[in-house]
Amino acid sequence: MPHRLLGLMLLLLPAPILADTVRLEMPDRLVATAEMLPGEANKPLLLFVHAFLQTRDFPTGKRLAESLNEEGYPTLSPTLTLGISERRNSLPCESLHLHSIDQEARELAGWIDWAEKRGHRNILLVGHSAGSVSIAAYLEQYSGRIPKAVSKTILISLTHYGPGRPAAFETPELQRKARDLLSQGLDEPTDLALSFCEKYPARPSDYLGYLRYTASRVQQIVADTPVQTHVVLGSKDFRIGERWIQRLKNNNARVHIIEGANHFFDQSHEFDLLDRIGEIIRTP
Amino acid sequence: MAFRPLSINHYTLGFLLLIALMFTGTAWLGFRSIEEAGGSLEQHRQHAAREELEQAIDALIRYLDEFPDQLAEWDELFQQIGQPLYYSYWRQHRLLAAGKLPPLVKQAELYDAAGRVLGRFVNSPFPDRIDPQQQAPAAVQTENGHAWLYRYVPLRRSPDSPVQGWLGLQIDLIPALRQRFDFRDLDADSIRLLPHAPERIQPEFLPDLLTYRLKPSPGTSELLEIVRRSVWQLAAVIGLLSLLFYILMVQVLGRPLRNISRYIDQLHNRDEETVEQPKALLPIAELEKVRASLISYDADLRKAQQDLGRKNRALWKLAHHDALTGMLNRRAFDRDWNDARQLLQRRRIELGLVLFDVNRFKAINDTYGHQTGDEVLKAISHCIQTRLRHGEQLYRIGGDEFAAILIGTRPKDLLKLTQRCLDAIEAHDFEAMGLKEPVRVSCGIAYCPANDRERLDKLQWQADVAVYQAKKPGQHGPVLFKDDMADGSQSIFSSWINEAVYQAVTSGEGMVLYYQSIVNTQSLDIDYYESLLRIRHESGFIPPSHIFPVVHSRQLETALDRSVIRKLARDLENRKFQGINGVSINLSAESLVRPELVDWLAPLRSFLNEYRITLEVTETSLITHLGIASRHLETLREQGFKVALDDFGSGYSSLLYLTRMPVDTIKFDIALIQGMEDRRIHQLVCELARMLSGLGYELVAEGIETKEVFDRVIAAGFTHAQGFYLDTPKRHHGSLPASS
Repeated sequence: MPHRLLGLMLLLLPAPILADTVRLEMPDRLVATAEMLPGEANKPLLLFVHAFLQTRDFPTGKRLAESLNEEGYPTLSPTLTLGISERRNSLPCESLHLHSIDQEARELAGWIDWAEKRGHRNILLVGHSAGSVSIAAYLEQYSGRIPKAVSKTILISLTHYGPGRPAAFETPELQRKARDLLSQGLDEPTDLALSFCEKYPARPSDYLGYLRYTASRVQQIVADTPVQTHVVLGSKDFRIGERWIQRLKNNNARVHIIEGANHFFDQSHEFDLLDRIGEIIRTP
Repeated sequence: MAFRPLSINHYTLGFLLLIALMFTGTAWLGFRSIEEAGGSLEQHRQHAAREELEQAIDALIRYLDEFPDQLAEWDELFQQIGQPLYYSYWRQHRLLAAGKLPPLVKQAELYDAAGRVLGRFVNSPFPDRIDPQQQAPAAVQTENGHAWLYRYVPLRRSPDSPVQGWLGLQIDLIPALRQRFDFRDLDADSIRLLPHAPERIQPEFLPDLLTYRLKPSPGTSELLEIVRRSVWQLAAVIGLLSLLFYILMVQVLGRPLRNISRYIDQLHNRDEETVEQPKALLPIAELEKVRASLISYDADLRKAQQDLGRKNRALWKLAHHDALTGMLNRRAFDRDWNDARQLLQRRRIELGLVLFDVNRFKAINDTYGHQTGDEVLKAISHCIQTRLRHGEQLYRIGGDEFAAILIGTRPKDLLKLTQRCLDAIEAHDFEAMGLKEPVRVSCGIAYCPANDRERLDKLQWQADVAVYQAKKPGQHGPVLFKDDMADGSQSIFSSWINEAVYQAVTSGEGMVLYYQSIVNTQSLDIDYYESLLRIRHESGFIPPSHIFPVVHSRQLETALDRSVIRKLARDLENRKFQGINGVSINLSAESLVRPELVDWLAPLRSFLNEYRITLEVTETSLITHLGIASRHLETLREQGFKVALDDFGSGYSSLLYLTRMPVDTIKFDIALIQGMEDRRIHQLVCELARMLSGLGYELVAEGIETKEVFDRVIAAGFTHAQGFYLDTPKRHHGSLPASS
């Protein structure tokens, strides 16, 4: 009897996803990895960018990628190196942060390049939270060099650095401190605070690089980028705040609000998010 | 030492103590066995603890070898290997603080794949470079009580990926052992490194350099505690039972036994009024039987004692009372007289002795018969007793002699009292008894003042003298002794002297021989002693002048001679004459004529080889029966005895008789010797001495009381001399002196 029951349960399980781990050496000799889930050839590649200090295994992005892959979309979920080859785990706030937003943009560009070379002619960049900021940075820094394959960006729970975020620890004082150190030529690791990290040891230059992407700048990038950009927000996302949502709405951006969802689109909002993303992908 | 029985309580206590000792001993043995078992277990645990320690060290090393697999997930390590620019910062802030390394790691260091340290630091215990190809086994370095274990583990992203770097780990082994392992037997907190341990050792030898204690063994401790508790509980139960047993023994056995014992003690110190019988029924049948038997025996005993007491009292009365008159008798008088003497020794009290003597009582007896005589005595005693004061007793000390001891009475009152007694006798109607003549009683009184105790010894004799005076014609009323009555009354002897002399002669009681030396006039040595008779009485010594009249009057001469012979034989046997050649003994005329004389002297015959034994006889006794006496003396001389003629010159013997007497020595009478002051007697003595010396006789001069007399007898040619000048008679206990 137990053996029959076990066999039945195995039949009911979804078919295992055949994932490939892709290693890609970046220009600064760091080796980045990504999970490639093959999909249907006629469907666009969805390139997921994870949130701040996270990995591709962060649930919001991972669930979304797997769900969309099930719908036939090939997905590429890299883990940003954050200065660590083959990084496997999220980086604790207290770790020594030897990474920058420019580096993230470069790595993103590297993965887009890698996808193009693998024959993907329609690439959608999907970011979550700070990953959306990284995409924004890419859009800004690679403006004019963005491959045509990049047809659309979906910025979920888009946020920004600097003032205006309800749950962020960076302060004008720390920003000033970093600038002072940098002006003195002391670009050595020091204790700072960024986003949800109250302690964030980093070089001032790297630190200030993130802080360049303030609300206004991100808002401007979204508004100015030639790539069709969709912003998906939860109405209950207290990490970004109502004011930021309102500013984005007023920016003539394609803003999609999912009622009741928080920053991570937990529980039933996961399906709302999936549905909305599907709609966005399918929208020409 | 005599065994003294113990009471039942002592035995009970002893028994309980024995139980306590046995229990204590058994408990001690039990504890000891458990402790031995505990010791064995402890030894086993020591081995187990050692194995635990060895296994823990091995496990620790294995753990250090295995846990790097987890480090493959720690991205920061690879960050630093790939980008060691800020290694010092990271090392300081993250290496240990990240929480990725086990807490037991005290310090760590990162090396690149080539074994180069990522950064050099002062005070780092790690080397700057390690040889990745030749990783030595884990080594232990000791320092200040710490045992540092160093391990270098490879860092790789996956088991099949190349080594990207090395992580050096330093572990303080002893705290690590404490933290990581839960030892069963070993007390982890007690692990210490031995002082002076080598600086570098292999881990397998580390246990030899560690000291540690064992954890308290709960099993053994609990077992000991259970046993200990059980022992105490058992002790409490035994103690309680012992207490109950003790109480039971004391109440059921001890107390009844004590009651019986006390009852027996009371019986022993019998006071009939206070002896209380144990009335309560005893709880043990056997004891009850003893109690009942004791009471029964006691009742019987009491009855027997009462009977005996009555008989004793009757016997005492018989023994101390005169059956005829009912007065106290001679025995009671002697007792009371002694008591009175002792009383006077202690207290200054005057004492009077009164003697009553019925005049012509023998004539009354002979004339009117003994029955009338008895009635007369009863009447007289009654008259006297009724006139004596309260507490004063009358004693019948002889046939017609009565006495009274009156204490604290002055002579005047003594005379009044005795006169009253005599008046009562005179007033008595003796005619009613058929007597046709008056009955007279003579009364003599001797008085001893409180301050003249020496007079006590003479008081009876003085009373005798006073009675003698009272009997003289023309004397009426009591006579109080006065010193001038003593002269001419030496031969007046009371019945007690008669009795004492008779007792001494017949049984030897009180007889004592004194010895006076006979001195050789040439050498002045003592040649032998003359034995002289004395009789000792409670009242003192009876002098010879009192003895021989009694002896003669009662014809006790031969009996006296035999007693003296026996007494002398005993003295000789007791070796009282060591160094002395001989001794002489006086024989009476009555003995000289007795054919048994030779046999009587037989006890002395055995001493003739050792001593010269001289038989002294008076010339009167010889002359009276010269023939028979001579024959006996000749026989005795043949046996070795010597014969001395005593008191020569005081009798009627002629010189002719002397030549026929079988004598060896002639003792001149004291009257002749002391009369030598007279010229004619002196000449006579000298001539006799010269003549008798010429005939071969030894001559002894008696009565030598001065030096002049002694010189005269020497000049007269006497061979021996005797007298107070030379020696006084002595009792001589022990050997007599060899010379005076």
